[in-house]
Amino acid sequence: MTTPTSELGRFAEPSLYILVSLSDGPKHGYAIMTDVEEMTGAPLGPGTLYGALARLERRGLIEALPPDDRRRPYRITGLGATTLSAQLAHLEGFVRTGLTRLGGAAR
Amino acid sequence: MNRLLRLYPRPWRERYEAEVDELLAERPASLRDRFDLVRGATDAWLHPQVAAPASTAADGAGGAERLVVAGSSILGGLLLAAAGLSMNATPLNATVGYKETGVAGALLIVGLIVTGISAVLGARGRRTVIPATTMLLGGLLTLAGWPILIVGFLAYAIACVILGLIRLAASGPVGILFMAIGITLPSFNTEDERALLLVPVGLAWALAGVVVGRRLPALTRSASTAR
Repeated sequence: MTTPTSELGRFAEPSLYILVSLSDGPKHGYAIMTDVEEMTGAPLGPGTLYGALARLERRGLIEALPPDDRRRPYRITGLGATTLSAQLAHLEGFVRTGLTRLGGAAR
Repeated sequence: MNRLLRLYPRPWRERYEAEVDELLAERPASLRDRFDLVRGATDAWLHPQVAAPASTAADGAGGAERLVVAGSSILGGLLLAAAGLSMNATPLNATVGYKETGVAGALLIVGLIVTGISAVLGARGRRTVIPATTMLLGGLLTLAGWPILIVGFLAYAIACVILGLIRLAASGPVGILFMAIGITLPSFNTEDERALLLVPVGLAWALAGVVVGRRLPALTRSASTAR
């Protein structure tokens, strides 16, 4: 299935992290970066972060809010929430399959 | 301001520079972050996600005008490539001793003029209008025949390199293509296999036209989402 995130190339994974980070409310770049680092344990570089933000914004999956001083918060759009939900459901099925197979192999 | 942010295209900087600068003020860039920024800048040039503001996109030119720029660039490039193939296939004229005659010569001259027109129509501001106009005038001078044609041809090549250098900052891929065209052209020779150099030159022009053409829908789309 083609989704708006499937064409994001090397930014697909960071884009998914960003969408998850924004799913509980708007955040600016630094807050997204620290949130993603807490979630995944891996830092998100500034070039990767803004490369992914630009792609998500252009595809209408997130939108920029009015800037707060020099920091601009972003929030997930309806399309972004739908896309994220579909991506997570797909991953959930994938994880379940993997765990089931691992369990079968261990026996 | 972090100097690495200057590596990004101007439209990207206008949109995101202040935010990234603020982010880097809160979390100073590590060596890994610096590499990440360079990689991000490369991506931003290769896959532009941010529309150029209307004032810098084409000096206020509309989509139709940019379509003409792209179309004339592609047409002129294909004419130049055809001229190279034709000259390479044409036996040397025993009477005059050169090949700037007949269909091949006409294709070369028309190709230079059409690409010159494309350069002028695509020029953005005074800095680019001067070399672009020089290219067109150079192309027109080739109509005068030997020896004036060599002056026009060299003027076209030099102006193309200058135009490429200027456009490098605003539109990287097109600037690189222009520089490559201008540097390659002086090695072109009608009398031997170097006539084939017109093929990559023509294809580079056509590719520049494709790059400009591909930006049309992207500019329109992202302009609407950026608001």
